[in-house]
Amino acid sequence: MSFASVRSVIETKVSSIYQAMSPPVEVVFDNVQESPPDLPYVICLISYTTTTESVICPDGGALERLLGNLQLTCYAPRGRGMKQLEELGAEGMKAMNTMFDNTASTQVKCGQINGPTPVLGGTEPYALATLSCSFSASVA
Amino acid sequence: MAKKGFRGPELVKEIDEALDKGLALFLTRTQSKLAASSPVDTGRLASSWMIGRGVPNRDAPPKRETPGPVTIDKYGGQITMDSDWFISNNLPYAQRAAFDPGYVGRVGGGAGDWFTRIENNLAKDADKAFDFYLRKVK
Repeated sequence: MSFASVRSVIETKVSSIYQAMSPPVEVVFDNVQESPPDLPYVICLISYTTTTESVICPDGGALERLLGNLQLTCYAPRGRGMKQLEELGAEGMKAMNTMFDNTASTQVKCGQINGPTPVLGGTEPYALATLSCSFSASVA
Repeated sequence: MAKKGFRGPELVKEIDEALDKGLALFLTRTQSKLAASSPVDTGRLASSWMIGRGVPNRDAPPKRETPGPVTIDKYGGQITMDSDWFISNNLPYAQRAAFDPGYVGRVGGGAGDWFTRIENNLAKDADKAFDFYLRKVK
């Protein structure tokens, strides 16, 4: 089991998708920086919900199966329309939909995507859209 | 001719009851998870998750000036499969608290993905809740 390799697969994919945009968009990952960069940017959060499944066997322990949650929150300036938020959301969906690589030693498969859900209310100087999905991962 | 020992109507009744209990377990567990994971400043947001039958429950606890206990508003009636059910939060800042990891008031709760973690795990939670009661049907 390697949480680091699973994180590496996801973060590399998300980063490469947003870096390929013109202009490139910065992605903030878990525990990397405290203060956010200039708009627009994306926050990528990875967490695990369960790591094993029980097996039907009297002395059975548990079978490794990593299940987690991937959340991408896209931030853009407020009051400038939805175009940028929706473009960032679409790139996030692309990252989730193309995450699985059956030739890789660490495989991450994303489930149904919820969102992008826009949040436009409040007094903050930014607008945001959040999309998320569950994922399952296996390490050879 | 009815088969000897066939207890169809009885079985259907048991399954119906198991589904009702499973739904009640699923809803109350989800409500508890949301309350436990919500960001806490005064505790009002965490105490504002309501279960509604047919339509979302638009109630909200009174405004708080100081931190207070997180309370869960238990659904008063019986939870059954014959209706749509909603879990809602009627505070104006609830959506931002749920979807914005940079939300200023985020203290004491889970990580910045506390809401989507619950949202994306609902199918599994529902499976567990229904499975728990359906397994008891003999």
